[in-house]
Amino acid sequence: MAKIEKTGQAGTLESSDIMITVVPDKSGIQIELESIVMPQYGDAIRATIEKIMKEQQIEGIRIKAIDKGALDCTIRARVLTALDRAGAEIREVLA
Amino acid sequence: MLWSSAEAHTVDLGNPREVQEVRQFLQGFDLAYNGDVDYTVAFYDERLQIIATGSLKNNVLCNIAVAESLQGEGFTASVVSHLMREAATHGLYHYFLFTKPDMVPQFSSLCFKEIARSDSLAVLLESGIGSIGSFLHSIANETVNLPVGRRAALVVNCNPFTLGHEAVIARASRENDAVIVLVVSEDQSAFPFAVRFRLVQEGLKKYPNVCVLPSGPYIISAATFPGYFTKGQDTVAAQTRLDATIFGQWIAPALGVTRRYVGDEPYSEVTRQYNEALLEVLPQYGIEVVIMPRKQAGTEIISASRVRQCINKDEWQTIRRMVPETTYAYLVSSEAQIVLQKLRTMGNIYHRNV
Repeated sequence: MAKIEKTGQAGTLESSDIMITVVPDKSGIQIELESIVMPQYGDAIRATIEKIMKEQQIEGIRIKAIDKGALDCTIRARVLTALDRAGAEIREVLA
Repeated sequence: MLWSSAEAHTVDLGNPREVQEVRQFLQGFDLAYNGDVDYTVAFYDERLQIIATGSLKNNVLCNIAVAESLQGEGFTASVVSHLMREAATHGLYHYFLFTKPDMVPQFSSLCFKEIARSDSLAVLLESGIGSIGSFLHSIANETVNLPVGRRAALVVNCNPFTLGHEAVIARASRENDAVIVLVVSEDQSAFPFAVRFRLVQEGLKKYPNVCVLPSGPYIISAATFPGYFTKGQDTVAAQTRLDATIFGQWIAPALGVTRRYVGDEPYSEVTRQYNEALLEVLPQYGIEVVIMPRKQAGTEIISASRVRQCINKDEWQTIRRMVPETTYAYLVSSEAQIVLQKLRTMGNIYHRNV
């Protein structure tokens, strides 16, 4: 399991986007999500973020996500970019 | 027009013409452009007219406005996102924002949370990593080991720590079961925060019921003391009241504090107004404000600004009478020489609380 070294951020607050900020934490994976489609897609967004953490084998992280109705592919892109900016080594994952 | 055709442009703050354009645009919203910023962005349409703008001072977002014809189409989100990205390049991820009460819904929809409001003038919002909730939790944790009973608090800059500060705190220590001393964290004083904090800690070691903590981002900080949301003389009044409100509404209950001590301030106008705001606001939250007269050394009133003056003039006999051993030892140490040198070349331009 890998850790991130510093804070990283990606995305915007614009419609159809999601702003992801990742911060090093002591242990585990902690997700703080705010979404305009929370009742409909809150769980799905969380699942997407958790899946990426598993794929990238990252732990000891706090993820703050402000979602403005982003598609799954957008969420993936923003999370991976935030991790990259936080110093994580991004592994290519075969779909 | 389409937002995609709008162009973001970093305003050259050294160019009076560009700054004047932004100033004029903001005037249309009855907002005064606060020139004391690090970064300003302006969005232009294809006719090169400004359609939106926003500025950044450290982690405080300010001067935000979007042309009326374009409001409600998510352009505020673009301006705010742009400023957040800029702040992130400086490693800042906790954002503050001041606005008028009628603008709050616009920013709430961007996940900004209200911290407090002062009268009908201004509202302080925050977003990003860190929140007043987690801050209150952490300072409450730091004070769990203090004796139970009546608790008092002081907010001090201690630039540097003097016998005057010690006298006020000693009295608070006698009159209360426990005392929490909050040292202003903002690094805008002659003596760096780390030094000020250490000298306060060392100088107060002999008082077992006193706990020294950093004041954090919510007390006398760049965030709680902004300068743009009102004009001219109202500015200081609104800022001091907002700072007092945050203390009364959030900080004091979290710390279990029911009294706040302040030093009488005969020299600094800003501090005098701040004390006035505390006297007006804190009792509304059930907090008693105790104003202490200044301690004297001989015929002279002890103050940190006087100590700084004496450093400039190399009057070490006077300094010796005004500061405790611990501060004196630091001032004559080799470690302090860089700070003293800076102090001498800058002169004294700071007005700070006690």
